[in-house]
Amino acid sequence: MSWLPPMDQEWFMNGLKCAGALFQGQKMDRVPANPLVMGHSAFIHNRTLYDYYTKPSLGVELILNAAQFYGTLPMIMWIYAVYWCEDFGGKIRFPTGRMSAPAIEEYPYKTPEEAEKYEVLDAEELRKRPTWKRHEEGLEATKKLLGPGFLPHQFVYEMFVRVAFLVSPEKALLWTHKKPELVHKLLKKVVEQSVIQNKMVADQYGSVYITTSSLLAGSSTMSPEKCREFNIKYCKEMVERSMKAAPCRGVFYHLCGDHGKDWPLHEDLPTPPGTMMHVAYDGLKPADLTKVAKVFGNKCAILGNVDTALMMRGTPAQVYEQTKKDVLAYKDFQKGFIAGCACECPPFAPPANVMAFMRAVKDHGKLGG
Amino acid sequence: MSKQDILQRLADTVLKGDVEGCRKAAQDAIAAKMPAYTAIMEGCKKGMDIVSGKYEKGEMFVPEILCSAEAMYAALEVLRPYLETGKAEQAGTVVIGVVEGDMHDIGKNLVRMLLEGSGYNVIDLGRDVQLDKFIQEAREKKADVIAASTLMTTTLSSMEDLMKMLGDQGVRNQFKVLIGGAATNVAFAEQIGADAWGADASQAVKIAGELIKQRRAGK
Repeated sequence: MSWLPPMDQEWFMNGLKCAGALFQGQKMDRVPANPLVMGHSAFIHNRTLYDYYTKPSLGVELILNAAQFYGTLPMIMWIYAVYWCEDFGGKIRFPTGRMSAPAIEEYPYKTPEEAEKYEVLDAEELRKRPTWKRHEEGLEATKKLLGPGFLPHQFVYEMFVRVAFLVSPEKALLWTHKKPELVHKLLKKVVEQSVIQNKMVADQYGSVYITTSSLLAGSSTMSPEKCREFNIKYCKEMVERSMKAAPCRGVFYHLCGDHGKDWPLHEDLPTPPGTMMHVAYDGLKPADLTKVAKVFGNKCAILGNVDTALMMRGTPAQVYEQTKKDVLAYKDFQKGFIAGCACECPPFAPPANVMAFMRAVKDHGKLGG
Repeated sequence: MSKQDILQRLADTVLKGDVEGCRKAAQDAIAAKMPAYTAIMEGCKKGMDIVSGKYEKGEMFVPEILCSAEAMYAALEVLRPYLETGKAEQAGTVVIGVVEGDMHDIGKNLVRMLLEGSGYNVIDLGRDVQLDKFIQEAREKKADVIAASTLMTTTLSSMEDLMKMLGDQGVRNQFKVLIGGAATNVAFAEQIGADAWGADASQAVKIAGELIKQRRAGK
């Protein structure tokens, strides 16, 4: 018997209705909230991050209960930040202490010659690999809990960071300068691999919701031109090809970290119904989403970006004020605004801060006059 | 070739990320009986200073810095055996690492490269460093600065613990503490009682220099 309390059906049905309206571009009566509560769900249940990251089924239960507890959208994505490394021979370490998240200990390829040997895995082979197994366990648990509200997602990540997870971020960055042809070769294979992975989810669950996350190819590491050359154009190709290969229920573009100079270059990316654009920071401050809305506001929903440092270190009063400010400034975006944090809700954010965030959305998020 | 020409070549090859050119310039410096410390400080450092300035202005990015660092290390490999003992320590010693629980070290590595290029003695503890180790190494190496980095919000608390540990061990005033990394900001540095916060690698190196001066002036 599950430890989970019975689902609050009213919350769940309202959440599904809201997500449905959002994804179909229909009007909503309230601003929904999705502060990306993931590892934080472990903290508020007095579980460790190790529990959360090593037991996908438990992780999904924790996320669901946290969503219900806070009243966020019932969108469950159990993932971690070093997907698709160990499947190709790398070694990752799950957190042994209270603080850390999974991290890469050893990259699969050390030299350009070794990297040349990187091969795309077909579906049959990938199914045997650890990341897919954990991801599938998370999807199965989500499906069981959410039934018709289940959104089968695939975390294909940033195309460039996937290359970095094969050879190390330093080498990947250095090689954009010294061995660009090799990086392009690896990126083409990563795109191929990602399309296969998206199709695998769609084949198994009927459709796929594509989640990308632009992490390393950003404004603090690369010139905008390089961001385009070594990531954005490949991301575009990956999404376009995936949409042709499988029924797609939308794309989550999570531009993590500083994308102040390169986010406008994402303008040409496909935005099928259900797409969310999430631009986190411009330099050290959360990006101005009114500017983002000028480019994407008529194409897709925009996810909010309350500073994660504020969520972690601020007081509930400060979080409330900032969230209120954001909601009032952004709530009328044409294709919808979802209140959110600039990245995953920090695992050890005080619950009172998340509650203050939700209260501000509730108090100021009424739509339609 | 004059010594000035050699120094200029060192700076230029660092800036261009020309590994072989930089190594050759360093060999020429040694052949010309130039003190290794001069070659580093007036050649390599000059190049890295330009790199650092361009990074700050958004004219160079991480891939280009890594290329310059590669060239600089090729020169340092040639020059270090000739370096008078204690020269780098005279400039200042920095113990640097990524705090316990965090494996993301590219930012820390950039700071290390720029610090070494600036002639400082750098003790790199790597990533996922136990907090005790920062203090132990800083004491043993008589460091001026402890530089701690973290990318993740989950490990911010490790920084706070480090400050507390320095206080508990009664050595807080022996070292200047510089923090940085994507998860940190100036308000956080103030909150935990660090001496300074570096917004990026280039700024961190400038601040480290200031902190060394302050510490040595007894401030």
